[in-house]
Amino acid sequence: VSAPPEEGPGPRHGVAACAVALLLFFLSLSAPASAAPAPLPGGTESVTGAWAVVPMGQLSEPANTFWQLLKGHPGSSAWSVATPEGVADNGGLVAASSGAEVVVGFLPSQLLRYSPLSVSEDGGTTWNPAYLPGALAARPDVLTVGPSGALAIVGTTVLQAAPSLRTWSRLVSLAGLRATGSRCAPGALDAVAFASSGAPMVATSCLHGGWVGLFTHSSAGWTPASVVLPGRLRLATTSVLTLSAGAGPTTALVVARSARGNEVLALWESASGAWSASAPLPIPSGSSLRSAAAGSGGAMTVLVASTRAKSVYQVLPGGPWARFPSPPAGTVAIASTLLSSPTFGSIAADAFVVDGAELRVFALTPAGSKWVVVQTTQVPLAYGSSG
Amino acid sequence: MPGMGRALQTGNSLIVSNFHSTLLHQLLLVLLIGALCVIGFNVVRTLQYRRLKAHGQDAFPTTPRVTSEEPMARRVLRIGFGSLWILDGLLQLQSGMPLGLPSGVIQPAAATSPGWVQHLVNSGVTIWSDHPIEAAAATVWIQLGLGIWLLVAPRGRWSRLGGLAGVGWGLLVWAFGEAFGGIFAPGLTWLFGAPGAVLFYCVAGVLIALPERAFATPRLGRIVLACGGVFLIGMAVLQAWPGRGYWQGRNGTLTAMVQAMSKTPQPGLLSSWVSSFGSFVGAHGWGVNLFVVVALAVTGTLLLTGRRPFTLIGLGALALLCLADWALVEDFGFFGGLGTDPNSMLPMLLLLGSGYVATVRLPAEAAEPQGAAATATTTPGPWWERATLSDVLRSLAAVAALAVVLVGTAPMAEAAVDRNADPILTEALDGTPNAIDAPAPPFVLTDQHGRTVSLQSLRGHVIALTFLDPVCTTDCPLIAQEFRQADESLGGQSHEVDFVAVVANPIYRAASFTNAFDRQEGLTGLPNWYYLTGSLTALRRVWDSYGIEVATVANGGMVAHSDLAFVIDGHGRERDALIDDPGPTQVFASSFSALLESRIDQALAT
Repeated sequence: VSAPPEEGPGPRHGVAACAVALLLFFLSLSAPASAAPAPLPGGTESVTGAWAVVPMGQLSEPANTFWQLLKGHPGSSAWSVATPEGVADNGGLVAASSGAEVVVGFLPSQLLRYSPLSVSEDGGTTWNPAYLPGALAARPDVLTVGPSGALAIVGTTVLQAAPSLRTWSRLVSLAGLRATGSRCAPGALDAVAFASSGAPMVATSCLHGGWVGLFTHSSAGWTPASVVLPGRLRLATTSVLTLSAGAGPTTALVVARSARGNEVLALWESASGAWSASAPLPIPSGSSLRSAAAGSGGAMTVLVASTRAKSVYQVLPGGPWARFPSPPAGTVAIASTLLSSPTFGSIAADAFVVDGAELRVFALTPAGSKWVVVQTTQVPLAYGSSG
Repeated sequence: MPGMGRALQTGNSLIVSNFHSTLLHQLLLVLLIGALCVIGFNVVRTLQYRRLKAHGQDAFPTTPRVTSEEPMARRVLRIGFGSLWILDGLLQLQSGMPLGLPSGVIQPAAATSPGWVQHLVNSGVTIWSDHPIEAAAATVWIQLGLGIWLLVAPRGRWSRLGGLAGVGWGLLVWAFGEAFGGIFAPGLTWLFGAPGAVLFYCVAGVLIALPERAFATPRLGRIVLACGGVFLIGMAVLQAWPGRGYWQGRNGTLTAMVQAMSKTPQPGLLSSWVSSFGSFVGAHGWGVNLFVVVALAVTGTLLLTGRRPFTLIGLGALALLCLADWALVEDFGFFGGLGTDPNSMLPMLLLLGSGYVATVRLPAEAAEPQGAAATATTTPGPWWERATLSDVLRSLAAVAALAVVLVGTAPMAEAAVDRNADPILTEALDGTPNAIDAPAPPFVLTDQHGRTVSLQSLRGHVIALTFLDPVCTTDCPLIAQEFRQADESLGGQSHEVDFVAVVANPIYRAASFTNAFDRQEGLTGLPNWYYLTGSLTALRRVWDSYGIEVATVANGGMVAHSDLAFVIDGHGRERDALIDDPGPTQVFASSFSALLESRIDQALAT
């Protein structure tokens, strides 16, 4: 039995293909341009305090969106504005803290194409400028600070600075991490952190499915962590959204992309150096991750939103994702307050609701059954000052 | 203060008065062209008379030369579209055109088109915005010239060339002014003028440019009507296509469009008509759309039949539909101070009407020339000696019309290649520079390389001085570029000029930031560029002495500072103080540099 000869496409098929190609061409011409990536608001918490980055103002207009650095006060859900002055922050802010030291990076916006820094040694009371040779990307953990200095991701390079932050030098490049032979096949630099040992850590996206790109620096060079995603995510490509260490185990929030869609999962590093993963949290089609907050003790809280609904989930090491009550309308960011509000137990979180220049902070009730407003603040904003 | 959003109003008195003044100057040029044509006419007639005398005749022959008539369809096209071009040219005389056309007409027309269309349109908008007076005046004369050309040149190569000139200009307007009539935008609809009025002008220009023999049979007219029929049926299909919002009443696409149209500036009566129709569409949107779809499909089909009675009925129905749409949806198109044409309905009717005429009014056969005129036309000699009075008049008139077109085109072409925007924009926004003659306040600061620089150390050079924030996100990079452009424009004189900026940020003032700013703006290699900084005390002293206000803005705002520039001559005396606020948009980029360059030139001359 022989197979019938295959027929060529024929002229009619050719015409149809041309018509379809032409249609696709015009559809592609008519497609709106994709928007520039926006920074992800959220918070970090350490043993000495909590920090959150929140957009305020006219959020649909980048030039009239003013990002605020909020400082959380231990033991309460009270937050105060600690945004450093001197640079327009319409492009977004990234913040990192270590003890009383806080470093804030201003993301490029409009005609400013590099990222000035602001450093505080006294928990955000006074600020001094610092120079970073390059532009930070719009990701939450592209900047970190620790007792041994600071790390920053600039393009495809990780820079390091001594504690004074006066001079920066190249620590490693993306190509250098690729050269480690990691099976992850790093695609982009995602986040940096100092491990509890003080060793620099770099997180990358992975082009090969099923792997998570986590690298730790030591005297022997860069060592990739052997983190393989469970069963059905073994073909998913990954990127690391947040990477935090210091107050508890080193924690990473990972986005896994597969044919099933996007899912997020938290990873924790144990004292032995082994990594464990949470169950994946599916992000429904049409929804996206709008805010992520790392809390002490390895807590990870995320805000998932579509045009119609918003949901808040929190996960603790070894536990399942817990869904909180729907956050208030207008919630733009969340923060984990596990240490700040010990009475709230393991489900403590704050939600930031913005209406122009008004900031309202909602906290979960101790029972975790509803959100109650605990603070309302007017933040004077200079609309029109950035063009 | 940077970015505080001072906008240039369309009725800015300086721009409007300069627009009128430019038009008057160009009118004088046009009158001069007219006078030259009159002289040319007399010269030709004198030559002809001498020739007649040489042949023993005392007077010009009185018998008119008999030739074939211009085809009626072509005449309809020529006179109709010639008149429309003249109307469009007159509409361009409106005083809001120089500043209002880009933001009020061109950019909104492209707003829903894909990115590449907007990019193309913006390139034209940039040229217009940089040279608004030249562009607006050019448009007046080009369109008036085209209209006159079509009207005065009925036959021959001049006439056909006029048609082609109309096609060329029409395509430019269609692409850059009408964003291709919105054919790439998602809301494309015949009701709002798709595929753009000027595309009909272009088709008419092509028909006028055809040899007259194309009108000798009904074929051309049938083709025009058939194309019109296909077009209308296509528009009906598009109108009926589900998911485009035209079947909805309230909150539907058509209702929104009509309501938006009723809010454009126009006479109150017209606004109330359009608004009432918008309410009607809101209440009966499905029915209105059904009527439009059926009407377009039926009229298109009638035109496609090619049979005279059906075609006539179709054209009559289409005329009623077009007039209703013109009044109730397009609000006639030319009110409100920025109307550029009477929109698409009239030209479409004119085009299809000429197509019908081409099928029913064929040109008569050419008659044999007779008598003295026949002798005149067959006698050898240069054309100006053989030409009839009518030929001479029309040829000269066509030349004059072409010259009128060039009166607009030449300055616009010169402006388009000028990298600097018209300095009048800066003066219109920021006022005329203040002339000063006083000693410049001294300063001693540190440049980006760590060297001490003072007013004294720069003595002998003209200094262009300004105040820039190295981490500014808006104005300062633009001002720096304008300084750089002024430096480039000075050419060989730039070695006599120093461009100096003083840091205007009390926090981010370290040399690392001034160097980063220089790298960002490509200023690092300029030998006469100094970006000065110093201690906060030293900076405050300089700010105060030059009257510069600098203040931090809390909660994420940019540092606010005065946008001022000073021109200091080689003797250390202030000559000019200029506001260098680039304004709310970037259209003023390079306008300031031209103004600064002119003031530096003056200081160099002292």
